[in-house]
Amino acid sequence: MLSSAFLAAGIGAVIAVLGYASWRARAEAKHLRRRLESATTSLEQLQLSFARFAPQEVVERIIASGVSTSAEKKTVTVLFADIVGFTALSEEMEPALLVQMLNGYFARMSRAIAEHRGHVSKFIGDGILALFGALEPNPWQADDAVRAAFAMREALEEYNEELALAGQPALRVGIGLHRGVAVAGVIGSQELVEFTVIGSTVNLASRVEHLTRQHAADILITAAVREALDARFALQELPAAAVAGISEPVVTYAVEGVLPG
Amino acid sequence: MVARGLGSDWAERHARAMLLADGMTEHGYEEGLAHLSGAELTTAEAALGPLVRETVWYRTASLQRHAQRIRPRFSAEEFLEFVGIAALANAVCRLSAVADGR
Repeated sequence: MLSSAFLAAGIGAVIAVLGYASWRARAEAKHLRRRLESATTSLEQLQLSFARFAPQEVVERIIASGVSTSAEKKTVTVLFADIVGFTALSEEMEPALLVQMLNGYFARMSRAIAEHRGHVSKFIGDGILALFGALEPNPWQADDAVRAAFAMREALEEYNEELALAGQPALRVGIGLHRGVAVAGVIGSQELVEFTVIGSTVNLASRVEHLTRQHAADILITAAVREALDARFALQELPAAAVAGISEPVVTYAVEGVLPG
Repeated sequence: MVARGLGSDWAERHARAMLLADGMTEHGYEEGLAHLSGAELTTAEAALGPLVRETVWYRTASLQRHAQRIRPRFSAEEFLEFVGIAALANAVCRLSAVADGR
């Protein structure tokens, strides 16, 4: 009788211990699941925030294999854009208003570039350096880059209407494009790195952008871009002009529009 | 377009041979692939070109934007057929990376 009571108590105790262990295990699993979900959310937020500083593809590459300073040669189309007369504008306007206007400009230009498969490598003051074909092979990069320049032109017209309503001055932009081989990769020091391209292709694109003032044209391309460009784009050849750092005068073409058909 | 976008020489060679056998000219082929437009492309083919490109890199937002843009031009059956062909082209071209020796 007594041994049966002990046996029953023993079984009860074992069941209680197992029940408690099972409850603990479930609670622990729930806790771990919550921590995992929280960590995943944090990682996603970090990735989204990081993507504002570097292209998504670069962020994913860095997450997968760490920061690598390896670089490779690629054929890219480089687009430089700059606001005409920005220095004078910056001296006349209130800093807060100027930054607001500039941010509105950058947001619209970046969207136009991204919609044509380019990515903004960096903002340099009021300037924009955008790349086509730097992150992934893009056999249609010249067409994409020129279409992006058109989209920027259109977006700027719309933005200028908004600025006019707000009583602010209109912006004018010069866009220069060049195509060629450049070294693309994550470049920088231990403290600060960025994904960008370097080389003479980038320098010439910048010089061509400067020529937009001389030729009074808003979009200029080099012969290298023209060679790869859809023949339906209406171009006007401009006189060769000397540019700093290049021995031969550079022939550029103003892009006037795209012909139907 | 998928073969060119993925850089698959093997698949592009085969696609080219089939298109030329189907009556496309050398010029029409080169023009169509170089700029995703051209006189030998039908209106439907020209409209689908930009969307085909998007399938190569599979960025959802961009794919949806392009698809929504051209969807009204096609019937549901036509569009479904296009989606199937694009998916098949992507599968074949990606598998052909083996044939390319990559």
